[in-house]
Amino acid sequence: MGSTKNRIKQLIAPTLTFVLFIGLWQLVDYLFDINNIILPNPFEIFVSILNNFSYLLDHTMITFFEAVSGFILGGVLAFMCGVVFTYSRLMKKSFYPYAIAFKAVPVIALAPLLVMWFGSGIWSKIVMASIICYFPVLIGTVKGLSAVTQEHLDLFNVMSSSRWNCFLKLRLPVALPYLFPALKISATFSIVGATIAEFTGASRGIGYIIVNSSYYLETIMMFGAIVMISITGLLLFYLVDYLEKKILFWEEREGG
Amino acid sequence: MIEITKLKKIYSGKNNKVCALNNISLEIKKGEFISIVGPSGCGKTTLLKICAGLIKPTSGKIEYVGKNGKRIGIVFQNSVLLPWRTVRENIFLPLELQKIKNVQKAKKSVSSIVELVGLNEFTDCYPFELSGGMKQRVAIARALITSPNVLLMDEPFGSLDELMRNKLNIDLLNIWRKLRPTVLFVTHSVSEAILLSDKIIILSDRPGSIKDIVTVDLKRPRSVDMKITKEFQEYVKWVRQKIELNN
Repeated sequence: MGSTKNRIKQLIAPTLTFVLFIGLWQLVDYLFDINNIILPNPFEIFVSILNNFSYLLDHTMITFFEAVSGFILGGVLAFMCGVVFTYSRLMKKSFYPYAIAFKAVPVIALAPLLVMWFGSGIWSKIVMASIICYFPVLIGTVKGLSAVTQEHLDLFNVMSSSRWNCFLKLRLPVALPYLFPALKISATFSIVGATIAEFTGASRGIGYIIVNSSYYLETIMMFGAIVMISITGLLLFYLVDYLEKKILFWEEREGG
Repeated sequence: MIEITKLKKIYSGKNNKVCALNNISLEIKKGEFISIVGPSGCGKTTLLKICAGLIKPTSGKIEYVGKNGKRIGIVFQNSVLLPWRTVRENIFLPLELQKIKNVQKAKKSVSSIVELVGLNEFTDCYPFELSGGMKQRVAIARALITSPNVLLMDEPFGSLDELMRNKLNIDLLNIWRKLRPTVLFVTHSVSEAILLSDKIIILSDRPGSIKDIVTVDLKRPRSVDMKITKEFQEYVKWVRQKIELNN
């Protein structure tokens, strides 16, 4: 199984690609002497991040807070709807098709509307992030909760289980392997949602910095903001990934 | 005692109706070991599920006579364990679902069942750490934990290799001798049915109806060695002929 040595070995190849890519970028910038406004080089970006770190961090934290709040709000709501759809065929028939269809709407197009409705404070961002998080979690929940086999249901019936116990002790754990991939998708999406809403109207957050720097042609600062928010997205993703591995300890080793 | 009278089951699909069972009448004495054999798709599993109360028969009835009423334990072809629970937690599940009052006593009964099915060293293992045979032992222990008076088994050893199957057959007989539940055992294997049972119910091709009932008079306790005796072979031949016999 995954010993530390093996894990380090696995990191070698991607690290090399990263170094190579950064090196190439630096080299191209040096050889062709590209204007900073068009493309700053990695070293400049790195120095700029260090110099403006507390400024960038403050705004990153705001976006992070909006994203996580939206993730939780949208996730919980989606999970609850998923439960209702699983137990009520009528509700599922009436609403699920729209939920699926609404997924096709480019949610980004809603951003200006949300800012109009919820103001340019954090609420429009939270709502945006939660809308984006809603659909993957809804679909994951509905799929997961119906993934239980007939044999398992028969077993619980013979043991005269209550519906609540059947949900808690059977359907829910069975659903988790379907739910976690959805949560991972939503985790990264939530950052996207919050940032996009900030583009449309905000006075704080990473999205605000990106838009603002573009007005002043501060490309270096833009890159700094992009790097910060990308790292945040990755962290959020790996947090959920870590939780998945901890909670679903049986998944990896089943079917062996 | 279980009394089955004129049981009939019709599955209605969209355009067609399939008669799975027809006119099954049967009396099973308390503590008997009964096997059900027959061609694939003859409704063996349907019959078992009706006995378990999982499917309602189209007509006819099934009655559990006696002061204990029905307490049912069931074992499927797949072990159907919950992979996130240890062996002990899996076995404890039925008690948990029935909201038992005396937890101490229940825990004790788990320990004694674990010993009975030979899982002592594995109580804290997870299902993914167990072999197929071991998983099936856990499933049997889970079925027995509520001290059922009827044990329903749907090809429980169907996916095991010959050696493992023989071993579990004998272990099952030992458990049965100690606890004496009434057993209804569905199987494909004629020799398994003979080795285990007091009576073998032979079902006909669809719609499943009782073609014949064979009483197995081999002495108990039985052992795997009996399989090579002439008497046993005669039984195998006899039961096979009856299964293959056209109506």
